[in-house]
Amino acid sequence: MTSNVAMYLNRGWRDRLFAQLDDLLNVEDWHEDDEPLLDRSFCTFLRLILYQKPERRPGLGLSHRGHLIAAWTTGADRLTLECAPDDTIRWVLSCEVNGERERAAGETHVARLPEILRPYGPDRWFADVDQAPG
Amino acid sequence: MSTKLPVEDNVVRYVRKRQLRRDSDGNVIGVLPDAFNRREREESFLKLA
Repeated sequence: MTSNVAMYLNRGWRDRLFAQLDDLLNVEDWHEDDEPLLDRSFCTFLRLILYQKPERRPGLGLSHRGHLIAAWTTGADRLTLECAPDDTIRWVLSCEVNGERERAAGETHVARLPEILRPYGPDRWFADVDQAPG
Repeated sequence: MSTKLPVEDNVVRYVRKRQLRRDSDGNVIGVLPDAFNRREREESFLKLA
């Protein structure tokens, strides 16, 4: 699955992403009622990376339903994206806008996410010249 | 104005590695919201100390 999009990610970014996934899915930390990472969730995650083109890698987690969770944190500003099957993203954010703390959440198609995040200045989470994906 | 929980009301919940919030280098910096979702088989996720 990843090989279909690998050409869009630079080697260092891709290798580090795989290392994060290996660490997350380490069998030694597995509990018997944990759901494995769903293929369809990982597919949504890959599309998220391609549509959003974040320069900073996300921190990764896994929901109890087997959905990959991508999280970016800059100071007190937090963005959390749960990659559900069928290109669905559940998003939660907390960030400062014009001196006020704003919190928002929703569910959208992965292709619409850049438009939804634009008013919140997503570069606060995604910009980092040292980690460009491609 | 927010206040801290009294000591006798503190609640501890075990958080799995997969539900820890990490930065892009894998350092643990918090807890993901999913850690506070109740699972289907759980009657309650709160265990009083």
